[in-house]
Amino acid sequence: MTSERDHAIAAAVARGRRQYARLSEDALSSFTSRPTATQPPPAHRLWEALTPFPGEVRRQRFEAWLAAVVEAVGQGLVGVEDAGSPRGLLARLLHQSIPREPTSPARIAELWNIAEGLRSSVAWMDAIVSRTLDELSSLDDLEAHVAQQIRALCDPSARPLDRLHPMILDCRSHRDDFLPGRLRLITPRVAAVADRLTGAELALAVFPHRTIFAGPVELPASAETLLLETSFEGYCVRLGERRVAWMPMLHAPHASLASPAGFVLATCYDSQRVWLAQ
Amino acid sequence: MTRDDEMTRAASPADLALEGLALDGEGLAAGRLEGVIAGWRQRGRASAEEGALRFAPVRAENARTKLLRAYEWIVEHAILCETPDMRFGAERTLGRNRTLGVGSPEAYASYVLLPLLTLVTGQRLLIVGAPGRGKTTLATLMALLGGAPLSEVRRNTQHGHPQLTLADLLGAPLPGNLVRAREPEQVRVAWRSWLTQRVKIVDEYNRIPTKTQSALLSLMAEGYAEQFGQVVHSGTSAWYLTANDDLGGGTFQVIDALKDRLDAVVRAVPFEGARVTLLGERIAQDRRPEEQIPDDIRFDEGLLEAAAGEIRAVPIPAEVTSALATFAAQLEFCLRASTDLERMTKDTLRLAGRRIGQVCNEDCPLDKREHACSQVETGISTRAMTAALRYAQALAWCRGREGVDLGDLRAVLPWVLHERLAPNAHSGFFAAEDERVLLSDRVGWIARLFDLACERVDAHGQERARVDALRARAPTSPAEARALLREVETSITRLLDHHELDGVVHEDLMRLRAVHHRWRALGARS
Repeated sequence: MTSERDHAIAAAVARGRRQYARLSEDALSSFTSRPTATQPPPAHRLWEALTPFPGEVRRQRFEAWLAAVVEAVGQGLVGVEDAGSPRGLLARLLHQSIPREPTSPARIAELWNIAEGLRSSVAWMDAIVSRTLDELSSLDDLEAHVAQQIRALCDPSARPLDRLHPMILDCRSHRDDFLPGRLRLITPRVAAVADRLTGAELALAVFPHRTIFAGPVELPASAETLLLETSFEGYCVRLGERRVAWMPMLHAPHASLASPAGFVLATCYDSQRVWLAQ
Repeated sequence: MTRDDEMTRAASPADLALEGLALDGEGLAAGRLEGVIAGWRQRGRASAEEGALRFAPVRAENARTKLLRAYEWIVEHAILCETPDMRFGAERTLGRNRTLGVGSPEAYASYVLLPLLTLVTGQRLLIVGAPGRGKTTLATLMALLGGAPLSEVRRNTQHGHPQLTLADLLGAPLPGNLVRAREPEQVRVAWRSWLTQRVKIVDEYNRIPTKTQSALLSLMAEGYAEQFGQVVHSGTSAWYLTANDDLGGGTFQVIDALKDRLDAVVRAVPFEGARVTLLGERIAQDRRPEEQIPDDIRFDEGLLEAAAGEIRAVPIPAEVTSALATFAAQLEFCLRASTDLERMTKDTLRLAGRRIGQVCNEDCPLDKREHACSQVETGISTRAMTAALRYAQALAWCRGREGVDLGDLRAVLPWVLHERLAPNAHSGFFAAEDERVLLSDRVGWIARLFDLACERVDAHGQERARVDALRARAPTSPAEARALLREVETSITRLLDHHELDGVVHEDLMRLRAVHHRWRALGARS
């Protein structure tokens, strides 16, 4: 049976080589043969997950997933760097979701179209939404989930964070040499955090129950009405005349912003962290 | 204003950054987002047919992107080229006695890039080099990129050999038809199919007999062939000719006129160690590169036409055309060809059956290290200048530049002039040990020759600016014309009496006389 799997993989890879000049062998093998630190490669996981299905269905579903993988790698939509931590919805579906929850070729086509649509329409949202996929119970609900996440990112209503105390978010988890500096608000729940060294921006999505760093991505200009004048006073961020947030250990403040969604962010000169407070 | 007011005054949904969704915040609130997502799902590229996943092609692709992708694929998978010799931008020079430039921001291998530029501009390229260096493979790859299937490319490749006849090359009358015909017009010629291909390959063209070369010449020069009063047109096409000997040797001497029809030459790259790995992979796969060419780097007719149109539209600034014209003028100039300025050209010498070497060293007072004229036997043809400008345009397009610059021209000139410029080996310039080596490195020599010509113009900059200003004037009255004529005469006198007569001064004198000739009638009116 494994030879059937390997035969299908070999055929798909050969087809990809005939089709795409920039087909990355490394990226392909991250799907077909290279295990991650904790898991077998996605192709092996998917083949296993397809075991209960009849032979023909198993082959069709596996080949449809392979075709999607080859197209994604050949078009450069998914790279070798997506293997550990997928950067977009398409990469996450192909690396994680579909191998866990095998689905029909028709549904794979739909999932592909939704992911490609999101990526080509609002790539920066794709980077954030893809990281919420762990909250999705079934791939059948993907459309509703994407809509819900987009709405949540744009939700202007002030909702309290789950944690009352200020949080300190470490940018090093995203990139070792990231030096957070300038801050601006893209939507009420998404802030752009600029790297003081390169100017590249990370998107920081702040939901009541979690925060998500994504990027670096190209982020749109901020809406003017989202601009609220903030300033520092000691360890406190002021909004107009009032102190609105207390930031512990913020020694050399650099930038701050306040969101109408009810949170305040700050960065300082001597730290790779971002402060978040209600 | 309360804190809540202050915090929520930005809540106007219309301001949210949702352009990519074709929705504003109000649309989002009104539930139109689901419609947008359903649109993605239904109208995307992927579909399932008979249980298999299918993808529609990505929307119309840019020809330049495809060309660069083809370049990358050839360099990495088909013909490994680890030594890009066309470099642009500042680079660091390492070493003292011998130097090597590193870190240039943009670099290409001429051996791969020029054939690609030939494909999209429909020009004629000669690929030279020792046997086994991949010349025919490269030409075949170009034909495949041009959209032809491999079997067709193999069938249509012309292989030069000493017995190649006109009938082999062009086609022959159908035997039955020939017997029945009563008039020449009744003879139907079965033309060879390669004549109308978009990409034409003539392998080992220097093994074609001289008589057959003439037929090839008219096909390349005029774009058609004729037999029995019937004509076949070759259409817009890119030509690739290969030769084992870059001096045009082989079984038969290549006629000069045919050489001049070649728009450029590239040299096959020597063996690189990294290719051993590639050879190993090929042996393992038992497939040749031409059998592995990916679909997404093949061009169709429409995309080739679009690329050609975009390239033709790349502006060529006056600075570039002027540099080329002055370079050509300096090469053509020969102080000892005549006592009359008009005929101080290498053409005068050639027509008299003399060579530059016979007059340059003994009679000519010009410093051989400073004047480009001494280094070449002949000037360059208008055809060569046209080819240089077309390749420079194509290179600028490929680099994504808004217009051609001197760097583009300098990069293509050695390849365009490779077979057209013969060095005057007797020139005092080549007497020095450092320069003698340039006799065997024609690419390096032509690049330095161009630099020398540009330096000469720079040294003459003030006079050149004056001449240009006089040429730009357009008097509207006899009085203005007379004033201009007086200034022109003053300039001519100054150039003749106070400047050494060399290629640049000679060009200025000719230009000034043309200005004088143009406005003399208006100046003569009362």
